[in-house]
Amino acid sequence: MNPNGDAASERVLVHAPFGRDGSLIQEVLDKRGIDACVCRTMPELRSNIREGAGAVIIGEEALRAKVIDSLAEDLRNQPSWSDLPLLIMTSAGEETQGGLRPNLLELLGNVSLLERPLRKATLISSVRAALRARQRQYQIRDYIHQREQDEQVIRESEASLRRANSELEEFAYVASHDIQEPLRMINSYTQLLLRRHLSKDNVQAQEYGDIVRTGVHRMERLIQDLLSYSQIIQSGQITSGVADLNGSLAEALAVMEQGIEESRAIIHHDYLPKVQGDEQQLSHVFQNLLSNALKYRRPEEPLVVRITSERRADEWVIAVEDNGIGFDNEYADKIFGLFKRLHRDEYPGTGLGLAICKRIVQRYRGTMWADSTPGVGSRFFFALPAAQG
Amino acid sequence: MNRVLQILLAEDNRADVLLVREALNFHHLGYELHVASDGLEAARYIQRIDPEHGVPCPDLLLLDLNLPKKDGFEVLTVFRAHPMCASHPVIVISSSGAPRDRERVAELSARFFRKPTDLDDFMTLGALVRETMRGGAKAAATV
Repeated sequence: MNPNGDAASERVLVHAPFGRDGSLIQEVLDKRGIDACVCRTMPELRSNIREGAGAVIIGEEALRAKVIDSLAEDLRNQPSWSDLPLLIMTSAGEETQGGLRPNLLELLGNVSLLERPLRKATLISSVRAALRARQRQYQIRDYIHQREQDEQVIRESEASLRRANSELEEFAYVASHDIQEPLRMINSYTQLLLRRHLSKDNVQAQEYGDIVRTGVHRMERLIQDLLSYSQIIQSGQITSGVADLNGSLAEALAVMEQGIEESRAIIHHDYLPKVQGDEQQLSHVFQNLLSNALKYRRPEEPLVVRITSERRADEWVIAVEDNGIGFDNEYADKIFGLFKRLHRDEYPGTGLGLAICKRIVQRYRGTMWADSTPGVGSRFFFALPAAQG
Repeated sequence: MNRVLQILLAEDNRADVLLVREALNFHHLGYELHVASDGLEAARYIQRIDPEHGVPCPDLLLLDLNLPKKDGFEVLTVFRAHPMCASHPVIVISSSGAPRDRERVAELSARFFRKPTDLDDFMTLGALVRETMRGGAKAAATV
């Protein structure tokens, strides 16, 4: 069946081997603007069906021939959307199907019977109904075709995304490895140089050595952070897990335990909700925020951190609030950018921590923001969809 | 362990060869180091091993993973396939932190030493070699 929906797909094929039935029917249909084509033989009919047809009219006498089997075979092998309407003109004065093999009409599929003698009005309305039904089939065909094309496009873009992701993963690994190698050499050989060729009493040389070592370690941390950042952005597809934020926070507190104790920080927290996300990754967010709170505390006052939750529509908003040095609200957006650091030298850090946090939250369709009053404290918020059920 | 250790080192980075020597010296190990500077050279060395004709199997293979021509795993496979070397100790020294690499190394019955950034940490390779050789001798004695 011609898939292109051209003129052939609208025509009516007429196969009435005896008498003048064929040309008479063609004439009647032509007058009503219906394109009809007479097929003298069964092979001609089959070949025309393959080129495309809206409906087929067959005289019952033609069904007695053995060649009908091949037509039945063709009709059985139609594509899933296609169910070609067959109008069979019964022989006058005989019991319908009388001389036919049993089940033959069923084998031919979508069959309607037209009793002879034919009335023009019956013929025309039956043909029109068949063509209408055929039109619907074409619509389904086009829809299926379109969907297959769309699926193909989706499959291709998914494959290319997967390729890009795995290339990026490899690239990040190789890049970090290859950057770390020369770094290791710089550090080891500076130390070797100091030990072998400069006296331990050379205070300035030792000091320079320390500066090299500090630089190298900072660079190592940067590479590590960049690597985890790239891993988060490339695992771009959103997963739909449920995270118990109490678990995330407990883990973060355990990791930060030493720092919290050393700074005598007081941490208050609500019983936290379950949200959509990954417990492990959200623990990373808490770790980062706690680490920032510890880092940017005011030395003259004990650090107090409050972690609270509030339901807003379908989301939970989590707030992590401290009484640290704070920052100018002008920078509230900038601090989430890559390598954005407000305090260059006094405080250690790579400038990637908050960028990573924001990416993690965004992975789960969440948002993250902050505000602050300098000298009073900062508030970091993240909102995540509430866990369903 | 008074005898001189025969060590085959497969390492393409000259700077690391030097650091390995430093670490072995630091722990006062008596050793003779045969350096293969790529994987192919190491594999050829291993294939030539024939104690009856004066080419003994090294007491220890120190192996970088990221080698040119043949990577460390290929070299390790060749080494393990050699009838004379199958049970000899191997320490993989690599800057790779990938868990996959560590697993594969363990599967091939080798130890793993991650190349550290600090010199003092690198020096501990000497201690690991000493411990491995002691353990290896013990293991050999119990077999």
